[in-house]
Amino acid sequence: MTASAAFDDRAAEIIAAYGGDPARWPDAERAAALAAVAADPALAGVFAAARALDDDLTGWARHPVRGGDAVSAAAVAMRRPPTVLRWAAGGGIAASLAVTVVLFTPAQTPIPVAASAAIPDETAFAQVFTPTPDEESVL
Amino acid sequence: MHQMIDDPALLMTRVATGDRRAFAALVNRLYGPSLRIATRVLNDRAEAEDALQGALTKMWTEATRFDPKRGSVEGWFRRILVNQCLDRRRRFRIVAPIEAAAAVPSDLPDPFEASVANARARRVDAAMASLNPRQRTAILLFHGEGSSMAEIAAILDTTPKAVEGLLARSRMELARLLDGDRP
Repeated sequence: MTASAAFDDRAAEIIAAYGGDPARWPDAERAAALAAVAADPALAGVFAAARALDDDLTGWARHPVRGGDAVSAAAVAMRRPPTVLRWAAGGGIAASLAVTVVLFTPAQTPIPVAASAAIPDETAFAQVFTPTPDEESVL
Repeated sequence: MHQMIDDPALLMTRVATGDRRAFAALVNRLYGPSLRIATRVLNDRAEAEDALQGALTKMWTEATRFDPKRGSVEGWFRRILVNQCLDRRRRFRIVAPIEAAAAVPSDLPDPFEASVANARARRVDAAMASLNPRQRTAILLFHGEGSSMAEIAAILDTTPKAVEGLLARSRMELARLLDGDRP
């Protein structure tokens, strides 16, 4: 395939995607695509058809629709609180709960020193770190 | 004294602080063009109004997410709106039959150009209904809003090259549907 034929293909792709308005074509390819259209009658036909389709599509896309009720839509949208305020409200509730828990929870009864001291440190260490017979078999 | 503000970005900064009047002013400005976009993408007025309502609610509740450094209010809202439309379409899977384009009569009285144009517009409407919502979105944004391939790609969460392909396929299908109808 020659370079010219290859660019004709690219020019056809550009017209197929972007339509028949060269102003909308990629800047870097516009001049070469226009030259290809001017040199190739078949491509010129594709270009003309694309322009006609553009008119249809622009008419479809820009045709106004009958107006709705913007005032009601705004009012309905504002029924929900903004996310930031919801977070703030959630944080406030959480803070209130935390204060309530702190203020109204009875003070813990301290563990009698005698109870915690009943097991000597060496015994407690041995209970935790001495393997049982089953564990010894594994080791 | 309350000064009337018309700049969308300024209105949006006020909306972010919970200013209800600023939000109402912004909705008043965006509503008409947005309803047209939603109606064209969804091809259904009632669904379009629902999608637009969802997008407006999101604009109100998520106003603090708007970043003026990343683009205009209109562009930010358009992206929210199109996503609402495409999400709705994914949920409901309503697809117009492709035969609808051929079923619309095009033989209104010839002497009246307005009637011919109207018939043509109806055939284009019917042909557009046979496309999927992403195709309609791409055509709407490119031909109606003047968006670039990159802007459409950002809204549809894809690449500019993929949008090129999407537009080319859509235009080819429309040309085929409308082919026998040229004067």
